[in-house]
Amino acid sequence: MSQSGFATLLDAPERRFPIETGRHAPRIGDLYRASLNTQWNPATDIDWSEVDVAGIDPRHLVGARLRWSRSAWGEYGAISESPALQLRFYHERLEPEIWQFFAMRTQEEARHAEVCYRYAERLGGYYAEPPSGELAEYLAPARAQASTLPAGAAAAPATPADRVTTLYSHGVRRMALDPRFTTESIIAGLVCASEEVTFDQFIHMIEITPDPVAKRVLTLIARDETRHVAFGWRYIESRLDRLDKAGIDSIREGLETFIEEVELKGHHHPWLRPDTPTSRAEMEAFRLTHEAGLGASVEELEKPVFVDTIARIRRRVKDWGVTLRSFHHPRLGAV
Amino acid sequence: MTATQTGAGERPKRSLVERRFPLDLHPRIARIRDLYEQSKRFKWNPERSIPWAEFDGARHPEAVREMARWWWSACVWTEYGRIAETPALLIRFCLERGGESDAKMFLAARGTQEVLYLEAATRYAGLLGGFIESPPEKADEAAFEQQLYQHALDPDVQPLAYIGAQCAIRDGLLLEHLREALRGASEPVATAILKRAVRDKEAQASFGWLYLEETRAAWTPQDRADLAAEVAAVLASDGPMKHRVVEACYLRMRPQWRDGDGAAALAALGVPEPEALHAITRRFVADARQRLAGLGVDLRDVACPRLGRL
Repeated sequence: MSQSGFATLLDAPERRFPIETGRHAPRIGDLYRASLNTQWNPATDIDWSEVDVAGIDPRHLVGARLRWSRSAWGEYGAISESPALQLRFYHERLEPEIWQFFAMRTQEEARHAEVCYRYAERLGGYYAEPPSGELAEYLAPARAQASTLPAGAAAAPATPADRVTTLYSHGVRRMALDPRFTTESIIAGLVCASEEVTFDQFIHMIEITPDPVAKRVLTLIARDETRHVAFGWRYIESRLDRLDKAGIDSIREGLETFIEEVELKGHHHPWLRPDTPTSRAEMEAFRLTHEAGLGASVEELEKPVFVDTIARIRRRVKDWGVTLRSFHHPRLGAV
Repeated sequence: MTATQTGAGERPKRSLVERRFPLDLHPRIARIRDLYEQSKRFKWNPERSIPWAEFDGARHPEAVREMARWWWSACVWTEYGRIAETPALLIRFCLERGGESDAKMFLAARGTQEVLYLEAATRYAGLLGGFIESPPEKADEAAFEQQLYQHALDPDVQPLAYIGAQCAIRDGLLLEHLREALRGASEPVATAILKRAVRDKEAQASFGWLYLEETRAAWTPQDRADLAAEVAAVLASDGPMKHRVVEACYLRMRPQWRDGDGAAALAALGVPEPEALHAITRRFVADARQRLAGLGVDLRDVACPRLGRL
């Protein structure tokens, strides 16, 4: 039980009135307006007839199908989990612009899941679950990881289904409804850390992807992600003058938790995952997609991007009085 | 959704635990998927789609504007809870084992529709003289604070019963009230808002009925009984609440505006007459009862404090 006296926010009574209107968070209101003015439709804003799989090697195609299916799972995670933040905002009676923006954001995440699903279908078919069995074997032949695994990155056993589920989820739903976590810590972790990493990954992939459809899909998603990321920084900045030391500490904890437990566990980058048949298959899928120019990158290209992102986050949050500790991963060393 | 049997004669105890994979994103319920596709095509923007500059306050007597701002504020009080209810319902669908994606995609879009309506209605109330932040009586607040988001996530509330009551019936009734408001509206801003609100609410009510029709093959007798009970509870509370608001609005009017020109002047601003809403509600309940009977659901008489037996 938290200090609020409620185990979860759902146990607290509703308090709807007085209903606050007007412009209270104009910088977030601007993002809401931008969102309204730049809506797009995966069904009609991409020329799907340009997808031509005829000349693509079958193994590359399977890899690309899995890569885009994996993105669909990730975007779906936001459909499933960010509504919990909307509940939290309602409960905390935050400024109208915040729930307005987040309602748009949830729809945008649905759009992202849809476009990734559509692309996987166009490439030959969407996969409904992480690779295992024959698919994992097909994508990760024996030569793959074992001989190149860095010291300290011991191979893990195959991932049980339940654990797989948690690896594809960042746990925001539970945190959002738990009054022990501050809203600032969740937004800092989810947006200023995790979505910042995603955004840089998207920009990197746009730069290296030659296929016009893949590039268009990535660009449209990145355009929305620009606002998602901006929301996090603007939200925290709007709160700083009312936060005490404990509040600032909670921001640091949120950032560190998401970097450590979400990003360095490979939520977005399969090569950061514990070594399993599933993660090997996913890495291979990304490599094959990259080789085919269909919108993915590989460990050697993504590493410097990832390191730069963490360094930039570290620099930026110093302005808030937050000093992030250093992180370690066998494939990255200290970051 | 997982269910654990507790004993003979008792309903299974339910707990909500997400099992994300396999994650089915294929369209499974084509008619609900169509609603989602339609929502992307019918996008609108309160800032740009509504002709705010065409509102001419001088053409509407102050007393009428006062009543209308009260009405439009009350519409916001009623719908405001949706900004939490829709996310809760979306979460609920995500927690349901083996659920298809069509309803989730539609609900993601529904959340935006509600935000747009709330923004437009609030702004219009402001134009009419100022949005009113709370009901005049503190005691009335509880009638609006129905905690539907908690209800949507209550493992013991069957999703079917919830959607039937809150989407098919409640949204269906609100749709008919909005249509009535649109029929009488002539002021350009009110008309523009109501046109869009009707279009979005049509999709929301359709969602409820389509969900019932598409899932009925799997219903048990208990499911039907739960659905009937939830529908009866909604009709006994929510419908009359809206009527009370309208009636209070009329009671506050000066006598000279209560008849004849007064009603027409209010209708122009999108405020329907209570008698018309009463008749619409009765007709709606009769139609809904028939429609539910076609689905094997027996909706008995509902005791409504305001309208009597429905």
